[in-house]
Amino acid sequence: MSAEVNIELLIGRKVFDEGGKAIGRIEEILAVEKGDELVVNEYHVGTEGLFERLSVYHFGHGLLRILGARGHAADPKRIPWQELDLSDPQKPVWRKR
Amino acid sequence: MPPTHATRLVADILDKQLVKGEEKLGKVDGLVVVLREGKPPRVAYIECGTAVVARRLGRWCERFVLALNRRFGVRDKPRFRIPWSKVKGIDINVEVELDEHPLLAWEEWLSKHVVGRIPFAK
Amino acid sequence: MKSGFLQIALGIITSIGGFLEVGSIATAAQAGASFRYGLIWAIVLGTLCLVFLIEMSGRLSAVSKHTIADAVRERFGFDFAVWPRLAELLVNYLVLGAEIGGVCLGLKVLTGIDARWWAVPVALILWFALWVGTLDIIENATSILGLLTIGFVVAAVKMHPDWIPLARGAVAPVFPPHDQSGQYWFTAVSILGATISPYMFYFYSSGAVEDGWGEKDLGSNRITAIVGMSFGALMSIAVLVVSAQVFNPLGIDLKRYEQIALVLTPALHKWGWPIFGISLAVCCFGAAVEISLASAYSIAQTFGWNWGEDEKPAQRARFSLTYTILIFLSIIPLLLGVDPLKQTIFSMALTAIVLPLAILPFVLLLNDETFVGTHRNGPIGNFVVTFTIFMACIVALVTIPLEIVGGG
Repeated sequence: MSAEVNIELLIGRKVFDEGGKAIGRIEEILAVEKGDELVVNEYHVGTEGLFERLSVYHFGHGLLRILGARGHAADPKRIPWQELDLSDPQKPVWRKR
Repeated sequence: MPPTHATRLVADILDKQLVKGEEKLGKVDGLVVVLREGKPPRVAYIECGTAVVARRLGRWCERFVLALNRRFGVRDKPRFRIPWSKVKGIDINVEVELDEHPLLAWEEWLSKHVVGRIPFAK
Repeated sequence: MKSGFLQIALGIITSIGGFLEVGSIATAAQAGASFRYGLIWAIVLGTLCLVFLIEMSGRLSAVSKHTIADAVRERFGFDFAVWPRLAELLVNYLVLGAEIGGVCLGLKVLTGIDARWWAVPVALILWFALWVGTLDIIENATSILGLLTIGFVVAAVKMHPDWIPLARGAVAPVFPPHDQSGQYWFTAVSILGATISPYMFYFYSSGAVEDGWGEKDLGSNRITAIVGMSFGALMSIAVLVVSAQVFNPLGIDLKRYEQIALVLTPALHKWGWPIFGISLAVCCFGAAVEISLASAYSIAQTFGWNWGEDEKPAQRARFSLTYTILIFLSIIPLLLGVDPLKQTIFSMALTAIVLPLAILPFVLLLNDETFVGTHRNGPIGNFVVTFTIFMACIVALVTIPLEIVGGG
């Protein structure tokens, strides 16, 4: 059963762990070439702490994010493709292996 | 361990200018990935069109755009998919090789029927 | 590749179109009349910020090969880009109407025929200039015509201003008597709002991309920004100084354009009136050209359409139609009888409100290696721009209540 996901709608969505807690938002998706296909390798989830949020540069980004701008994760959590459950694209779940 | 050459779907592809040679076709409005059982998701299509960007603003917006398209006769499909195999390169722009496409339908129609009718346009 | 002179021409036309236009002429004249040389510092401050912003705009385009609107969508996403674009469209619509109104007022000064009658002919000429013109022709023609504004400098010098108070007013605020404090600061704020117009750097950035600027042009970009904006500032200050010499001693509070039109008469005698009329018409026409193109550029670039002033309209159908529709819709308030000066002041206030939204993403791009590589902003550049944003916020906060209360 192959389901389709629109990346432009996926980014910015909150990712939850198996306990239901939000761990951050998807901010980037890395893909690699495998044969003649381009396949997803890992998802980057932004988990910015308060300290990072207070820097001037991040503050500026933070302001823009209110209007829907894309995130800019300085040190994102990298989730391998196998660990992100997208059966409900509105609610991605991190299933740690 | 991330491999040496990875493409960032958001920073390197999404919202970039789509070109065919020198001609601007539009922007990469959307990117479709196909989920597969036991295999990594595959980047399948680039999506372009007013319905695609409208959807990003909200479902209501997409419905509005689709309704407008129905009402005013479809000059181009509000959602067009380019298979990933047609992508030739990603640099400043995303370069594609397409034979037939409706991406410039409005541009061509307006050029012929409106702008072209005004003097000194050519 | 463009010669140095033509590049400076881009700077001057950006300046004439953006700097000296209906809003800045009105505020400079009012400032001179009410406060003599006490507000020159506001023009200097605004210019300083503008020099940095224009230089950044050129640098972003030369290094990344992207225009500002293009880069904003690419970096921050369509969902975000929609907001500055919508705000900009609204503001540009009103400012364009005010500029066309300014051209009409200039023509009224020259011919005596009421401004409203000129609205449609001016819109047609503006549209035609964009329709058949190329960027080169438009840049050069408006630069040359704009040199007429040197008339203001000539008049200013001929009237022998007191250079010491002038210099004093250029470096620091000259605090007026308490009861005039409100009006002083409102005028200062209006000058800043009139000076820093986002359409200027969007226009400049598109011109830089269309002209194919690269890293080798960074030096001339800097010179163009400094020379171009300084030229505009000089003209603006000249307007203020002449107004100060003519109106301040008589205690005249400028309320209508017809009064301002008398400003060059004492110095230039029978030439004063027509030179003012022509200068006003040319400057506002330049601004109208810039705003129309800047708006069409932003929309075309956000949606990835083919754009460009050098190609024929049929090759750039959506882009050409965008400015066409905008120009003819913008004259509606003028035709309905809205006073151009009031529309000017209102749209300047609106510009101030939108300014932080226009500048912030732009600044973040100039600190992003992916776009500007090693040519990121230095600490001074970032400081100036952050300061400009804060200033813009204050200007916005101050202008709104004062607008409502009917200040100025």
